[in-house]
Amino acid sequence: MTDFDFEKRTVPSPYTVPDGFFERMEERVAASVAVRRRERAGYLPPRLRYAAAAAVAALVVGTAALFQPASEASDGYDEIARLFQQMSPDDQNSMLDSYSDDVFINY
Amino acid sequence: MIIQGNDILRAFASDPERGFRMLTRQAMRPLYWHIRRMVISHHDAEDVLQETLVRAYRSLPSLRDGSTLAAWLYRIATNEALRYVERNRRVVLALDPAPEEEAAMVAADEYVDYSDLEAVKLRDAVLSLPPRQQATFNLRYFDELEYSEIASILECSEPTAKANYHFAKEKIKKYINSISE
Repeated sequence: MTDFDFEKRTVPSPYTVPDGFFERMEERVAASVAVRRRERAGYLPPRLRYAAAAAVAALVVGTAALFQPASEASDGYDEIARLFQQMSPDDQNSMLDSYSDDVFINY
Repeated sequence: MIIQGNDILRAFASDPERGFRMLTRQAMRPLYWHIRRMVISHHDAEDVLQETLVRAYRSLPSLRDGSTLAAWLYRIATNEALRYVERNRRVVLALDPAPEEEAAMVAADEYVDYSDLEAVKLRDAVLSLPPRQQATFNLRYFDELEYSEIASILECSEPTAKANYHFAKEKIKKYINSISE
């Protein structure tokens, strides 16, 4: 025989929270998500990081090739084109977004 | 949990910050209480709730149907809470406390109203159940969810959710009888 019947009425939980907890929590979560968003904005996935390194290397080779005799320079441009072709469309777009305004590469 | 899932998803698509604020305001309280019933301590529930909401934020763009948002959030919260309980259980086992010490660890939380004896008794009875049975009981008894929703949250069949609830109820009755004798 039970001394109370939890099926007849919903017995509440005995838990409480500190005053203003939910309001503070809302701000805490919003701040945590804002930090995450800022981090993501500056984050480059590893696959893309390798592609970026390859693209920069290719651009350096290509720039150096400008100062080489014509027969050697064409090899550098071929290399850039080859590396660029190997990238996925997303990576290609990202490269163009990242480097099209780079004054050091495009001088 | 009453939540305007489709409105939240639409708001999130156009302005993630605003959409996520809507979600937090509507879902935070029921999710907190659900987590709290499983992890017990207020401070632990606070951490698990934050992790739940951050995970939800990360995965929200992949959710297509707003009508499933509440169950989806409960699922994340339940998994986070179960993960926490399991991790904590290993720590407690490693510490190897005496039964009375373990009980004191549970009772140590300051944010509990001990004046409602029935509520404390029911809480202790629920805590004597295995974690997934606790989750089933809590979702049905306190959150008043349908068995189909519980099944979706706990990723089991509807009859399993129903059976789990009935087993839980019987065990709770026995527990309460045993401490009342």
